Amino acid sequence: MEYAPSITVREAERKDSEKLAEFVVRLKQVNEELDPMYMVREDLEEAAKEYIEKSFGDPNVVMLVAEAEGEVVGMVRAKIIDRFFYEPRLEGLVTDIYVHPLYRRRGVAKQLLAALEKRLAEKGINLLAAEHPPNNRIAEKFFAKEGFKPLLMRVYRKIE
Amino acid sequence: MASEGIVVRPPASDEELAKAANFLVRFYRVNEEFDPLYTIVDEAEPVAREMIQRYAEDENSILLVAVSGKRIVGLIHGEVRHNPILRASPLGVLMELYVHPSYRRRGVARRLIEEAAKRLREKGAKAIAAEFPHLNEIAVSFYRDLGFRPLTSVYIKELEEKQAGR
Repeated sequence: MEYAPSITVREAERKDSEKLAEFVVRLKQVNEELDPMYMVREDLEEAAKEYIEKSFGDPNVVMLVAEAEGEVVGMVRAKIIDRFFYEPRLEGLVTDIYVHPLYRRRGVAKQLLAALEKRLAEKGINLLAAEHPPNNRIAEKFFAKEGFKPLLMRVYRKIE
Repeated sequence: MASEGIVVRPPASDEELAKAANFLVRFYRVNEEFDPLYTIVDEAEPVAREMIQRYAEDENSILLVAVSGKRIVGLIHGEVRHNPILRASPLGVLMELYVHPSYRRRGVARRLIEEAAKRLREKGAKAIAAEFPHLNEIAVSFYRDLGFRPLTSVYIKELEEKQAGR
């Protein structure tokens, strides 16, 4: 194994905004490759900045970053959702999780999830969810390995 | 949806070469997701420009774009590879293939491969191969559907860095 600096996970701060937006852009570009219905908007970079900015101001959003040697190398964003009809009522939904390619295969995403889980538990939330395109096999395998199971199927058709 | 109206040919202008370079970067960005060893350099665009130029000029390479109207919608690059001890040499190898997301699912990649295969055969290729990241399952099923079978496996590991404080 090559030299692997230790990874620490902490709450995201405004100084991380640029990196967070960059990772969100990368993530949406991956989705774009998976289905034409994930075609990203022209001003994706601007949109990502706005998304991060709004997330900082949203009490129902948790954002964490993974750091290696002072550099942000991964992020996770979760939104707290009211399940309304179901118990438990609240879930933490992972909307975005991304680790820079250079820092893959060393458990960074796993570490991000563990820290997120802890953070959500402190808020009294005991259900963790994640969403990803159905043909993202890497995500599928990752979440299965982490003990997630499919619970929701969302289907789409275009209106002609 | 069919690929009618799609023309496959070599890039014909600087503008088209620039677009091809953009697609090359997109292609490598996808691969980047599959393994740290596919991580691309920071300033990938100018590097891609040089690569495209080289592909366009190299006698052993073929570089084609798929064009819809005036728009470049896809790219393929392949080369002939020699191994004189093999009867199947030279081999035509497809190394980069990219179709813009808004032109997927209508057979553009298939058209690119057919034209690339034809041109590689003209350069002497006896068989055609495709290289892609091991974990790219979309590519696996795509090539299988086109009648390709697995031939070579590439296994890789990092070389140890110089011992620094370990």
